[in-house]
Amino acid sequence: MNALKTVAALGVLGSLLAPLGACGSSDDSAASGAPSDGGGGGFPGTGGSGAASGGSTMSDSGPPPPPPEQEVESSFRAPVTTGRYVWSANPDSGRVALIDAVTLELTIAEAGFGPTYLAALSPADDDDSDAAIVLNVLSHDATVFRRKAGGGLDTLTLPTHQGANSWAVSHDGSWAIAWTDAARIEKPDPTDGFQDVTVLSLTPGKESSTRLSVGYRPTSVVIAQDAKRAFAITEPGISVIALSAAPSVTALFEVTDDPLADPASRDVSVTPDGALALVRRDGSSAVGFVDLETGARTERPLGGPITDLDLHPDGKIALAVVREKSELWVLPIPEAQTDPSAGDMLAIPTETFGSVSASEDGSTALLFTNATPNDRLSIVDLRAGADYLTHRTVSIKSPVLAVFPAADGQHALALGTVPQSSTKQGAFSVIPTTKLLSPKVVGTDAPPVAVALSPAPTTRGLIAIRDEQKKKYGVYVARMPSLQVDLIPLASPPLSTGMLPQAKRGYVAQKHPEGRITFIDLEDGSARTLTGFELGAKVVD
Amino acid sequence: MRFLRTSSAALVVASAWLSGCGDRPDHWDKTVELPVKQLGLTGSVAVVDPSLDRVLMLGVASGQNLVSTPLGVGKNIVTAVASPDRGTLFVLSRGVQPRRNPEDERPSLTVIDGGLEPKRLARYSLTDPLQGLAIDPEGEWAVVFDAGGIVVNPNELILVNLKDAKAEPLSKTIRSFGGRPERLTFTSELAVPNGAPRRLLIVETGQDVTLVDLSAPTSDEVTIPLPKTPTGQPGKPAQVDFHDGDPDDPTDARIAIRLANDPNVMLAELGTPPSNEDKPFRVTLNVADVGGVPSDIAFVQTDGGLRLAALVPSGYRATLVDPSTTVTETVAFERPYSRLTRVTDSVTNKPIQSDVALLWSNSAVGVAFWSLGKTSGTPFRSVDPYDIGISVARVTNVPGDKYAHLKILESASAPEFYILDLDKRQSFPMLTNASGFTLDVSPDGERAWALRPGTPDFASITLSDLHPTSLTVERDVSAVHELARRDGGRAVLAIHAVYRDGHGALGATVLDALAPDTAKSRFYPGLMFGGLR
Repeated sequence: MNALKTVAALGVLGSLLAPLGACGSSDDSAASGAPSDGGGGGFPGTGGSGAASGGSTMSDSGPPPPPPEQEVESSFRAPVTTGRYVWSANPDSGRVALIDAVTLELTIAEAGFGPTYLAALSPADDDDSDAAIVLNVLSHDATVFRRKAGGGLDTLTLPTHQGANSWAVSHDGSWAIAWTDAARIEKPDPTDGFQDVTVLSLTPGKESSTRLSVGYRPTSVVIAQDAKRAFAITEPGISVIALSAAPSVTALFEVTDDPLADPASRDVSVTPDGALALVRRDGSSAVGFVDLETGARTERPLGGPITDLDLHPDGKIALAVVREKSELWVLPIPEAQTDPSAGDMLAIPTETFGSVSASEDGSTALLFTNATPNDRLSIVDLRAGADYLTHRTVSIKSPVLAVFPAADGQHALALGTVPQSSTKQGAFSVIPTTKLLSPKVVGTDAPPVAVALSPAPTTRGLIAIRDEQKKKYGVYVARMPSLQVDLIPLASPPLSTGMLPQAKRGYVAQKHPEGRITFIDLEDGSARTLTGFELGAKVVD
Repeated sequence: MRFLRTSSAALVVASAWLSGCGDRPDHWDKTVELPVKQLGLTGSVAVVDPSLDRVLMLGVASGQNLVSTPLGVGKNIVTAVASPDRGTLFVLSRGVQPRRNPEDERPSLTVIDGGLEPKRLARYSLTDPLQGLAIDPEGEWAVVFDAGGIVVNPNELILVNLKDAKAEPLSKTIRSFGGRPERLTFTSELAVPNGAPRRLLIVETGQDVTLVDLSAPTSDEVTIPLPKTPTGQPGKPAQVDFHDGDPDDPTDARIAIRLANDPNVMLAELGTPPSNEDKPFRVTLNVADVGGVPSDIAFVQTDGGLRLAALVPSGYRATLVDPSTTVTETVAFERPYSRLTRVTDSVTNKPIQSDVALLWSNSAVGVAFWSLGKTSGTPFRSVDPYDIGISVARVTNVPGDKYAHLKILESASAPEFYILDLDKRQSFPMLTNASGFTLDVSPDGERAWALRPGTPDFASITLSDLHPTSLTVERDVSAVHELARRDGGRAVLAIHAVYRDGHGALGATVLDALAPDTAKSRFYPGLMFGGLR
């Protein structure tokens, strides 16, 4: 799952376990429970043979095709963090808390009415700047918070359109776009297009708010790395937004020949530089390219229906999987757009895989399927050299659900579903990917719901588990390369987990009426839980 | 019994006869309301006499010679409380309400020396008639609270500095968010980041907790909000405990708050305030889920450091909370212990680093010793259950150092009690002939007195050898009090209360506490008549 890939937010993993393998879809918005009227079908998906793509061709003879692959990884969203700080919004109190992961010091600031959706504004390469923005869903505005050097927070409020529930933020934090993700709306009316977006210029001293209209029901909004253009992926195509002193929508580029086709049956990824959009359509054997300057479309045919397409974060490479033929395609970008011979293909006929996850450094790809129960996972070396596209296959002893490669490609975490014969409720594995070592297989007493890996060089992983019925909650700390795994029990259901590299801590945000977060020292594995940080703001002295 | 022996009927007759006389102050005609509140003090027994706005201080000069010292207190007595060491008596009076004349008496707090020579130590005039009285166990403060008038300020506290009899009581209204003071706790001295160590007054209201700095009572208090319960109701404090933390660290004093019907316990740390504030501390809050509704909490020392122990009887366990991290560990018990008494200081050979606690419950038979050391893999060293045949409703400490290692365990209904020797880990059953007895330990910690109120039977138990001496006097006894005698000996007063024909009367039988013998006792009738000479 790459940063600019078109994915919709999913619920927690636990909610996905039941339907897995029964009626999934390769499209994230469908997998997240988006209503079928917005997704265009009650059983959407691509499948390997196209049989499940919008009900187009269900064969009358032969075995039914496997169900589509699931984009489970996208449900493990990290909460909002900047540097050593965690930001937490409380819609009920109208406050936002800034928590220092090292000292556990709290800073509380007033937001608007119903602060709900937070996004970090700090540039990724700026360790000293901590800023965030929150959507106040009831006052229809956004509050910008900037941490002051001497403590406390500066705030600024800008108007937004009504119903905004998602953010896109530019790499340098100078722009933020509030938009409405229909997948987060329960039973939206077909006439609700959610086409409003609000472009916020956040350059200090030049803040402004501009409302624009994009295509029907955007599924994602991305901002190019140079922060000059933004792209709203919508049903009819890609709306191009010029980010200037007077932001405007400049174009609508269609992504397929039939722009009215089921939008839930396609994935759209935009390269970080904003030059190209890559399109995968359920049942299609071709990768589509859309030139985001001209709108020109081209296609690169592959060997069969593409079940997964991952664009690397740097936008230089795309990985495509053809499950029907057990093929992995490595496509150089942008060469693959114009050169039909550009790219390499690895076929592993003995294995079944329909999904791919690549490490952030591009050194390792992991191939697996979660469309059918399969405990095998293939590790592919993507590093240039003699071992390029060599592979080995491991078994994690439980059907693979999702795979998370470490940023440095040295290890991966794989989540598994448990077979009926197991007494466990879930499983995960820590997999050495570059050394010929056995995966560490761990059965869990509750299903895993959140995963986080420390940045490169990756030495720690966190796997949060949750079973609300049995009230079993905890987080496993996985140490790499030793593969030591320890469980830290939690008192309340984990919601998400993440890493704070500057603070050398990981954290698990938990469900608690007063707010609860557990910080885990990544060096010694000790845990500190902070609860009631909203209460702290109410102390009167 | 000697010449003063008489019958309770005679007491009533005398009282009735006296009430028929004329030309005497009205108070002679006031009836005695039973039950009469009595408080056993170190050198006297205080008998509260609201009819005459006084307290009768009964002492024993020598032998069985009873001495009565009436001390006037304010009009309309509200409550009388003895200090924890039983050396002082505090009497709260409403005065004349409503006041119509400047001479009408104001509400007051009277402080009385409960020693061998009872006397009024101080009387503090108050502005408002309050009903609640909290006494500082360290004897520095008394706090009057809980207003009850036409227009009331329920959040007003009157702080009385007991170290200065001439000091004016301080009135302080704490912030209110809808609650009112219900329970007050005085801390020991706690180190704070800014300034000298100080004591705090913890005020529990129905929905928050307030900290009053007793070193600067007029400064702003700190109000701590409570989390909502799992059902969304406002949290209600049920118990507090406090700890100074590491003696060398002024930033780690903590207050723990148990919440009613809530699995969460709250921890308030008195940490360092921001550099731009000159406050002595800044409260930072944390909440720990102990896995069930706790019935008792206490800070305890373990080999791993300070922990907050929370008993969760529904789970047959305790949860130990690391107050700095809120990481929890659970300790399983065989029984649903609901109460915890830290007994470390009562043990002759105190553990160097970790606490020892006594676990007990009113709903489970037996007690257990909980050693809070640590062994590899467990957060405690041992839990040793002891079958004593009763469920424990009350654990009574023995005053002083000599027999501090003894605890008296009482049941709510069983006709027996146990004397527990913490040093030997032995329990000694003491059987009575029926249930419904009361136990009182003498102020010097040498004896316990058992009584079945309403009967003439009582007994002493010498704690040195656990030897019981049963006694039967001629009249029914309502209470037994041991006190120091002015001649250096010790006496025991068996108080008799009689009520007939609408009149109450009080008498006492005096015995030697060290060698109780009914044949060497003296009966005094008519204690409330106006004094004995």
